[in-house]
Amino acid sequence: MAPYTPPEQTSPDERAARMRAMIPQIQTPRLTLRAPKLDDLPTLTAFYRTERSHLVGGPLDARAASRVMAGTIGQWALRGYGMWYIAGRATDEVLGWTGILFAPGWAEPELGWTVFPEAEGKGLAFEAALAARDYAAAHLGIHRPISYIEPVNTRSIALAERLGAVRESTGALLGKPCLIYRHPALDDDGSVEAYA
Amino acid sequence: MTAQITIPRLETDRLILRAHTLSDFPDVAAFYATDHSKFVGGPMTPELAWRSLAMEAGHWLLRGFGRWSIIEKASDQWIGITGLWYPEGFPEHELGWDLAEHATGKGYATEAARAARAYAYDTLGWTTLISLVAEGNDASAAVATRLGARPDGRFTHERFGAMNVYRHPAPEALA
Repeated sequence: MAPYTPPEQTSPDERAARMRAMIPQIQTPRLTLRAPKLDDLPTLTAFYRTERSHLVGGPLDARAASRVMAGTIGQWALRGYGMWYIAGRATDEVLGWTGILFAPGWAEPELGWTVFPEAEGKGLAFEAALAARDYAAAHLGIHRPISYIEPVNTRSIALAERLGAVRESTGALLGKPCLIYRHPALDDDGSVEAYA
Repeated sequence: MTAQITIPRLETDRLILRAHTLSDFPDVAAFYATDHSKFVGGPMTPELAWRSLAMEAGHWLLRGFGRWSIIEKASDQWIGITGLWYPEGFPEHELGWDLAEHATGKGYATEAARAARAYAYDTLGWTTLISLVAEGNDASAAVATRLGARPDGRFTHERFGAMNVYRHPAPEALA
């Protein structure tokens, strides 16, 4: 006997609309920062299956990846902010994520980013993280976020520096040593504040 | 900005079922901190408990249904979680319940789960439900039995291990 499938109470469009109401969409020249959706699961799972995901908790199987996705959405519900999925503006294909993370174990809200290997080398992570940082300054009152970066993650270190962040200290996150980068102070419009 | 999704609030004689909030986190972390949570993935660190709570909130957004925090009316305290659950990898839509240790023995899990089941049947129009009970979780098996559910096979959960499937009575059998 096939497993029981209950009737849908809300259409996928309705659920997408609710999700957009909670997770704002941001457009950049080449990207859309948007809410995760179930259709992203195969791409997300494919990334989490690879060894490349070891810096962000992987490798994980499909079930664990789906829990991560639900948790990403859930932080928006609990905190009112969180991580966006980065999608190609034309394709809507998910390429990674960026946004503000703040969970037990985090000293303060963190600007984080991950871009899948196939999307690397095009400045997309920079474009996405900058948009997320601007949004956090303009709408969330988060003006000088930190970024936790594992010392071996040279790509992320380069991106943090390109974003104008400076190495502030070393620390640990969830038991792993990491570097703590501090982003520059931003005005509400996202521009770097002038220092006297 | 807060969630725009409407998570219904249910009420029973002694309990309120409502959406999880950030302020529930200390109670959720305390629930998962001890061996009392061993049948549902615990014990776990506060960091993992946070992920669990965030996942519960995200489930509502992805599926349009989910689980509620259970509040004891008399004390206004968080005492547990119940509701409708269908994450990736589950065999069917499930009715689950987790009760804080200090709230056990009062019939609260049964009362809360009955309200969640009525919501699934009467409001959502579902026609069947299962509950997954870990091998050895006698207290939970007793709740399933009190709810009229009967054993209906086995399921191996990747984290919780061997589980017994209980099938709830159909809506017409409860009418």
